[in-house]
Amino acid sequence: MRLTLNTNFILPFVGSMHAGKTVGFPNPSEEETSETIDLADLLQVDMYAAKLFRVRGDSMMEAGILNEDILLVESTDKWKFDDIVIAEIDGEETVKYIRKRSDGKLFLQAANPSVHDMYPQEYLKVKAVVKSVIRRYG
Amino acid sequence: MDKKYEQKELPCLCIRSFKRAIIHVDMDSFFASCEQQRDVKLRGKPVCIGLERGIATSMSIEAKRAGVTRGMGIHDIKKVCPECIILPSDYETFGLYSLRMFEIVKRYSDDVEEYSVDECFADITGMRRSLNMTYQEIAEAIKHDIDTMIGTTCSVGLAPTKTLAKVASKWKKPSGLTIIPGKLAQYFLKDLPVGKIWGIGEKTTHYLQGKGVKTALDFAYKRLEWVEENLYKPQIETWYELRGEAVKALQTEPVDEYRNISKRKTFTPPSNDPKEVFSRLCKVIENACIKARRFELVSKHFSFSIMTHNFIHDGCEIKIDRPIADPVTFINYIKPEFDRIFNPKHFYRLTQFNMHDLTKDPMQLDIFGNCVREVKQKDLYSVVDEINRRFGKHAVHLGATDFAILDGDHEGNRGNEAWRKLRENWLPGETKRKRVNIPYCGYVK
Repeated sequence: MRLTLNTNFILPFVGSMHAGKTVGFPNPSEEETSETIDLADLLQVDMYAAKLFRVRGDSMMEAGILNEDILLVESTDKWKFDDIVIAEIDGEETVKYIRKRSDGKLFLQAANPSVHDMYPQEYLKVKAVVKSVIRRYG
Repeated sequence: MDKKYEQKELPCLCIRSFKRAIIHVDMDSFFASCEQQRDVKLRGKPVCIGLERGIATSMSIEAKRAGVTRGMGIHDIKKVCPECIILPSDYETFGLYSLRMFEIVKRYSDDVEEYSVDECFADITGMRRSLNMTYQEIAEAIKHDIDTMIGTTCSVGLAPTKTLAKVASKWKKPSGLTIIPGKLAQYFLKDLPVGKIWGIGEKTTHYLQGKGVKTALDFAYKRLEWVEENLYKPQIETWYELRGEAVKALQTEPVDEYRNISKRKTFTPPSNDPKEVFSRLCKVIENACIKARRFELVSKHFSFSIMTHNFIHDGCEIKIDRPIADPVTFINYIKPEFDRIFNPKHFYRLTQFNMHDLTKDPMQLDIFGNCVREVKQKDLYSVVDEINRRFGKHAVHLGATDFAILDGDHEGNRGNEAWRKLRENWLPGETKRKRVNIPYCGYVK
């Protein structure tokens, strides 16, 4: 059996919706097939570098990342400062902002005032950039 | 690099460096690395894969250094490396990473051969202009992309032929990138034992050693007349390939069809009860038929074997006139042979069933009206397959298999432990057969 990696999980794109306000839905059946959009493209994630993580704790609460959320990340070395990243710091993996101090030193910052900034004792390596958060309700 | 080698001045095998440019990618300790990159706590530690089988199928670098070898039993692993972490095989995740590797390589070339789960060849001849990169840059880019996107390292070889590319990827492991231009091939072959060449088997090695051919270079320096006189076509091809002449084509069409299906099961404790052993044989037959039906394949040439606890195989090969994929028919043919072979003085620990020369199910009519029965059976089995899909494998099974199913296959809880560990790596909603197509790496804080 061959495993297939289905990278085109296509959802019909039916215009934007505003919460709390009724918007007329175009009938999807009238749309051309070219009116569908690949979710991977929409999220701008390279599906061949994508991975999932689950969040434990609320250290990224103020960035809208809550306990038990699923993170869609992209493994890459093309990250920028102030990205939310999955980083390996002294043998532990964590999700935080990657920041640069004015003296050039790298550190990880939580989105929760009660969590201290993390400076590496030995090493700090960015493994992936967080692209999207998935949360299940119910 | 050139200067250092040229000082020794060995005669060239090939005057051009890259008549063709072939890349071989080999993932380092693939299964174990997949697990190490899933779980940060496993990095830098000895890890083995194969808990559910009871033997190591893949070892991390650290485990290899500690002396764990492929095929080593769990008991022995604990002896040579007590701190070794032994994990079950998560084939779905390994499969996802394997496909990623192929897809990453396909971004640089259309001609990619998926050689095995953790190896592939790519022909990048003529890609320099379209990618605006040198061959070396393409090899570096492929390695960089695999290392960062998958998160585990690979070893890459670049050479004018598949055989030399294999030599190159093995040259420096782990995480190496080795380039063998045709002009310099002799320096890479001079210390390589002839038996280490891809495609030279044990028998050929002994034969060549008998003729005084010790190294790959000894072999490559032989004259064509000598090679043609002493060897057969596959080895002659290897000889050309070592000399920088690409003669082995890339198999770029994925092999979608199975030519053989083989199912085997080891069980403990070994048994000398014919009923029990036959029941276990029936189960592997049923498993093989499930797989065959999934791919709509049938076979009229099949074999089975049973192995005693001291590794003596006994079995039988059967050919019939009509291809089938129906366990009851197979079992009817096999039962008398089994009774003939089975010796209650022996304790058996393995049953195996193979279907050979598989063909697409043609539904041919035969003059004896067997087809009518066959259509009915097919209806029956499509229902059976559907029930099993919904309620789990072997929810409906043959009475003959009952014992093997009820008893489970292993004494103790090794199987259960393996399952428990696998389940820890699932997202809520994932099941054994339904997994998300993106690898899940567990919790982060």
